[in-house]
Amino acid sequence: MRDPSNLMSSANIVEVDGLRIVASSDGTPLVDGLSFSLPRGGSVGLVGESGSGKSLTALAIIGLLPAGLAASGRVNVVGKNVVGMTKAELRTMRGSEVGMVFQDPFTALNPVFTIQAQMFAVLRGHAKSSLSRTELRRRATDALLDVGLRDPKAILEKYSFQLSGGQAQRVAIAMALIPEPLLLIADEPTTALDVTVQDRILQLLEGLRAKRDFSLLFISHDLAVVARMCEQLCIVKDGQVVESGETTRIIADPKAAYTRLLLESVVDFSALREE
Amino acid sequence: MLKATILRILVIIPSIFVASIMIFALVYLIPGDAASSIAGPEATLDQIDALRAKLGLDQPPVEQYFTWLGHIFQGDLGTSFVNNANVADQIALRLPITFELALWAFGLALVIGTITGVVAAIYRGGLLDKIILRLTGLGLAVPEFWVAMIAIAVLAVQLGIFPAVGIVPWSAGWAEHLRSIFLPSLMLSIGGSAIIARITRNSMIEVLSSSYIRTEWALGLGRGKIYSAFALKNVSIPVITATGLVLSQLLGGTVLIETVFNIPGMGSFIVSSALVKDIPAIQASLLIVVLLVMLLNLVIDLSYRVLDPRTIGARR
Repeated sequence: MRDPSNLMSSANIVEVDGLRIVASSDGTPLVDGLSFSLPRGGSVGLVGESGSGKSLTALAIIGLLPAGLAASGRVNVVGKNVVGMTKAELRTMRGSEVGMVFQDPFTALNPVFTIQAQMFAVLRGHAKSSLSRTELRRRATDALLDVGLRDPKAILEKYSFQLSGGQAQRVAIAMALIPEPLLLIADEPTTALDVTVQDRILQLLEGLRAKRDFSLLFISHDLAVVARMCEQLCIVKDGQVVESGETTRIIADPKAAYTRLLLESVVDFSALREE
Repeated sequence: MLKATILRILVIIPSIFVASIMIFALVYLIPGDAASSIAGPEATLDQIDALRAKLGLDQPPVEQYFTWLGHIFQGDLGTSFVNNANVADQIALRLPITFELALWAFGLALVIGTITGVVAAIYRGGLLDKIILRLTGLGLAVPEFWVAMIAIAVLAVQLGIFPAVGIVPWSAGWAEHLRSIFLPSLMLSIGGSAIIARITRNSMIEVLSSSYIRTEWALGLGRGKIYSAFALKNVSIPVITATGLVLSQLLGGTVLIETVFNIPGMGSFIVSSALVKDIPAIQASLLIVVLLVMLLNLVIDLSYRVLDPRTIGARR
């Protein structure tokens, strides 16, 4: 665990080195020697088609790979390897060091608890001392106002299925940011939403990052979205990084054939390329 | 919500009617003639005819049904063909015993079933899970009365931990009462425990692998909090829906368990009445049991609506 090379890489909040994720049953590799690093305060986008292993990589970083999958290699988060962490270590890391926002806000929120019950649980779970009900309400309200929900009192009383997609995703973002994580992983956070809502969620994430200064790992199949959100890109194909580097460089001068293919598939890219 | 609830309560009325018709008709499917069996083998045809007229059995079935129903609405459950006793009085004497027995059995089934189901789900695929799955398989397959007979032989007769038969009344002391009702309740709960354990296990596995539980892990919440505060409520919804089935099964099970333990409840009353073709007694006790099942199902249905906010249905 105490790998001396960690000391040299303190500038990076995430360092993935030779990550392999295989199905325990038959050993099929789903992620095959993937490596990338995310500088503290920076933003990296993982881009690739579905099944490329980008979401599994994200789940490996927060230590939440589904049962039946085994990870090996090095996944350092704030200098500690997540692969092989104890349950207690994982729990300390989750939420407060790494937060995550998932694709579908409706399935990501518990359908039989009000938003308030779910937010209070997170607030209580990360508070250093016990909080009064008024304090809980105040903090939950603030958290919802921060993500641009104008009527937090009404939202708190609702269940997830009574919200719109955009509202539910804002609630999920607010909850992930309550423990003030150093890194936020956003796994296709706008894919399940209407196009008009997508843009507003992206604007919200940009605004929150400017204000709160967390690092961002953004995962999407949509190169245009990722290019807008991230300073650096990692193009992932078949569980490996085929190309990585500065977003501007990759767009201007893609090296890998697969990256060129992805660039061509973005319909309105000329405007971005001229910037 | 209120409208749906009232509708759910109103639906029970036609159900009761249909059930009453079936119960009334069922008795006429029993082979043999009530009047001739009551009159005995020595009776002459004239005596049997006279008895039949006296019991109202010579009337057309439809007329008999409405006479019977009319009496029931007036609280008159009829008079026993066999000993002229008031059926309502007899049921009033026996119903509380059966109700208590079923209630204890239901409580035991809930406790045993949910605990084993949750444990099996948490240790899914492990030794404990395999043992629990085998046991629930046995619990579903083995007849309760057979296990009950073995339990009486070993626990009551050989070891003397429990009384072998009968129920000690509350008046003789609550400890003795509970000791006497424990074994029959436990035996009666076997099938229900197995059903609830299976459903709890499956539901828990599904809930634990759901996206919303993954979110709760990702938020850094602890295992205890996620299992007890969140997952249990998600799990309880399908379990509560299944308890209606368990309750009906429990009340059906009392017939055999009460006979094995010689408990003077509704189950043994139905059996003894059926043996002597005491039609009013059979009809009335069946009707009471069916009403009980319907009412309990109604309560379960309504509590399920309270637990699961999605049934409220109001989007936005």
